[in-house]
Amino acid sequence: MQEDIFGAIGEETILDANQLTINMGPQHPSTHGVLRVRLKIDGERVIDAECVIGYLHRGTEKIVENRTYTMAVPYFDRTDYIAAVSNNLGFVECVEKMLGVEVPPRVQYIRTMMTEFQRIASHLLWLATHALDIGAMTVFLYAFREREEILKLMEAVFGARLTIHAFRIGGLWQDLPHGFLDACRKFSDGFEAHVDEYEGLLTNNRIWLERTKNIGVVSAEEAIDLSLTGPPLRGSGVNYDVRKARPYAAYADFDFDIPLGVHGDTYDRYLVRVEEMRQSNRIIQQCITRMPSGSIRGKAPRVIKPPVGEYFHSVEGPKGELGYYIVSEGGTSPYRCRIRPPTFINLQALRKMVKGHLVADVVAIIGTLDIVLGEVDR
Amino acid sequence: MDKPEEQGKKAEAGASQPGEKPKKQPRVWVKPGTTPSASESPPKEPDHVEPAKSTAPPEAGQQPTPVPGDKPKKQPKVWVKPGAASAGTAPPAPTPVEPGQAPAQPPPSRPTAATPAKTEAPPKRPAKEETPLYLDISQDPLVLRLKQSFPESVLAAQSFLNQKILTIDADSILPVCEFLRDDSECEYDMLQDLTAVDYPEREKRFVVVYQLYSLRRNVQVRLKCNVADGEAIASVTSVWSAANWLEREVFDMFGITFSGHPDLKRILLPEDWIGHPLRKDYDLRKQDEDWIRRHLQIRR
Repeated sequence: MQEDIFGAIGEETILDANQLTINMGPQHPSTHGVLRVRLKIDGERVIDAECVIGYLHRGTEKIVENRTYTMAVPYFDRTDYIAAVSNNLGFVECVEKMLGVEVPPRVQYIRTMMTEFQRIASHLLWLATHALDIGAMTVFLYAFREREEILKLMEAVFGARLTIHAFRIGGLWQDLPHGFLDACRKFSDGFEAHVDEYEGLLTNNRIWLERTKNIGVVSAEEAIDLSLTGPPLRGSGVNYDVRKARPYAAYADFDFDIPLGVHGDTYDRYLVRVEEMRQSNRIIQQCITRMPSGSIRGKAPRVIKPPVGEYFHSVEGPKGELGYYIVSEGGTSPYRCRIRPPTFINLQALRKMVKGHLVADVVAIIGTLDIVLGEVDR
Repeated sequence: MDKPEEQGKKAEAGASQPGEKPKKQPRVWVKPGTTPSASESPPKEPDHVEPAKSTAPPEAGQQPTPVPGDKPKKQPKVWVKPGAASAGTAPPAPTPVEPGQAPAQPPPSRPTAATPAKTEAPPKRPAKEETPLYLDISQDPLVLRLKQSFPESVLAAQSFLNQKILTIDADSILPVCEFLRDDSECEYDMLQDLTAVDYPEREKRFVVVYQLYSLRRNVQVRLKCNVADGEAIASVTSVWSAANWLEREVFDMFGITFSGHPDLKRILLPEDWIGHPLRKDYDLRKQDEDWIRRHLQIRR
């Protein structure tokens, strides 16, 4: 491999003799997949870090160029496989915008509701693993209990739990099953108390505070410069959420708040995500009460051929701004389909965030970025 | 081809039994090509075929196994219309004398269908032709503002479905980006995305795409630069550090070099990878074979 990866850095060290370059990953449980980090350490302190990624690269963008628009949708389940619904939504809406297809309100509401469920599920998985990395085992068990309920709901609607292929261009595959909204309401009513439960375990926990406060601090300017999006950006106090900035689906209809952090450290990002779960639950409750009736299919053409042109559409995925840039030459498959992967861009900040911290904090910082290697590598 | 032909003839022979030559069957079975009827038939076919068409559907049903074997193979290519006949596929159907007989039909019907289908399709497409969705936005305040400082750099200004697209001269991308970030009337402080598109037929084959966003104004703009193969474009890492990995990815996938990039090397693919996969002329199969040849010393 390259030997000069750290050549450009040249920072003074405390004790030159103790400088080491070690590998963390790719087979390391706390790197959430196949992330490999080359750490340059001086004793316990990290001087520099370099991410080595691509172990999960499957060439999704190239594959999609050779598939029709309809066939392309399931491939995006597999980019961020923790939040397949959000990925589907971004792509499907982008194609619909290019086609000029109007989607019925019921579809919009169902999409919004399921995307918010997915956000909660994604955040629960993040919370579980993040807490587990830092040493809080109990949260993992609690969080997976609720995530399981959500996956059951997903299965009831879409027929699958993880790689869901949730939405179709122009609408939905099928309507909500009988009694589904009641099941949602049951989950939703109880969820607030569950979030309190997690918070009771962590928010004022002395160990948790020690491990997360002032760890991986990113200022607002740095966050913008690094194009961080999602909770990492809002944890630094920058108010940017695609749901508010460019409302899509039915988000314009709902009341919800965007939680913001102050210090931009790991603890603030934790608070932001926990609050986001509550806000998502709020959106879900509004969806349930206001769910319109009507068709679940818009007037999409049978053969999907967007006009010659290009369109960039982004949605607020659980991990950040998830964008799709489609270039169409008028054919049945995209000429170019670019995914703007939020975690790929967020992961860039790792180097800046770990500098000067202890090796054990690297684990916390990787956790707080909430990466999914399927999306980083695509 | 042999088998279906034989079978077809069997069937034909069977069908022709009542009419003419029941005794000659065995010979036909043995060698289809040598039978007199086969050699004679081609010229005659077109004439015979046409009358048969009208009666085609019921007769086709009569024939047992052989004909179905024939049909499915060729049908999917062309919509079967028993309408107009052409002699193109005549050879397999050596139907002797009977004009109304079924056997002659299946083969001729396929070619005939081809022509009408093709003629029908074209008229539909022109009707669907899209009206241009690109609009000229050269009078947009942003464009005017940019042109004040960079009169030469803005090559085109368009919008597509209300998304602004500015084509910028590749040489001036760095100052333009700096201007867009710092100018008090632009404030594009975030680089949302950076990618590229490959058009191999163009003189400058690559389009590098910058998607900018202004947090304060909540507006987006897309910059596009045309870059030729082997040409370098200035890196914008000094403007947004987010461009670092994004430019590395473009370099990895397209082979576009960014001058001034602090650490330009492959990011998703291994260091020793050959080729740039998102180029349109990147042949996936050839890549596979090359890899096998190189690493396993297998030639095929």
